[in-house]
Amino acid sequence: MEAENEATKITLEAEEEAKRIIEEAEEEAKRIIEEAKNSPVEAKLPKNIDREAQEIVERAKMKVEELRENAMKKMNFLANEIVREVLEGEWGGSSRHR
Amino acid sequence: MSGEEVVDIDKNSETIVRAILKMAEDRARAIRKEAEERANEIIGSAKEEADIIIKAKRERIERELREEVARKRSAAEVEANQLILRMKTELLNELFRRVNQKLAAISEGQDLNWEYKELLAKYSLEGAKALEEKRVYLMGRENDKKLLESISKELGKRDIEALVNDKTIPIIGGVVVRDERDMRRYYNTFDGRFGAYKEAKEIEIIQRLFGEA
Repeated sequence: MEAENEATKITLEAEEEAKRIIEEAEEEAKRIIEEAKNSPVEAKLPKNIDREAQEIVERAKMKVEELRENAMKKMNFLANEIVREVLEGEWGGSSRHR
Repeated sequence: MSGEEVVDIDKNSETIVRAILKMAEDRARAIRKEAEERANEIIGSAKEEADIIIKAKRERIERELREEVARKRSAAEVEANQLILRMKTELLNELFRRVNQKLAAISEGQDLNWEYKELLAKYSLEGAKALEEKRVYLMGRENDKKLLESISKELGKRDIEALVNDKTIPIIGGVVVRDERDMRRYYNTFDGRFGAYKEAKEIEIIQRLFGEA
């Protein structure tokens, strides 16, 4: 009888310990997941993106100056050409007035 | 019961007790082992889940960064295009301003390359022919009244009865020819001609002004 009681005690203790082991594992699992949720993940913008953006605008400014210079060279000649085309071309037109 | 028999019974009881305790200990070991295996599984799955969470966070941040880079690049390109477009608009307006100035100089007789009266005569005849009326009216600037009077006489020689309208119009130059009841008009003003020209040729003008050739 005593032996049976001792055996039951051994088993119960083992079951208690098993329950504690699983509870501790579940706590640890929760901690691991929370830590993952709260862990900082670092990523930085490429350093050269601002410089690249600035270069795009600077290139446009240079193009603007180049286009302006070329256009100004043609301006007067083109204005005379257009005057001739406007005056000599078929640009008149009729409409119903009322 | 003999003394020998008593000794045998004691030995048997001891053996049974040991067997019972051994079974219990074996069972306890099995329970602990099973619990440890289950605990390892729980922690293993948590680690996998944590890895997935971190991977998803990293992918989201990297995607946001890529979007930020694209946004910055796109904003710079928009600004660049606006600079170019603004300059083109400005120069195109300057070109049109010069054309208007030159047309005004022609109608004021300040440009010796053009004979304004000839242009007015040509435009008046063109308008009268287009309207196909027996009698037409010529409308123009206050300054052009005398020229139009003279032109109306020349049109008379071509069997076109042309009268100069008393009412003048605020235009750069040219003429509007109308029928007697003012139901139809033929616009041959510098302003109207230039407007129609611009409408038809604006893209070509831009190419000529900013193109390579």
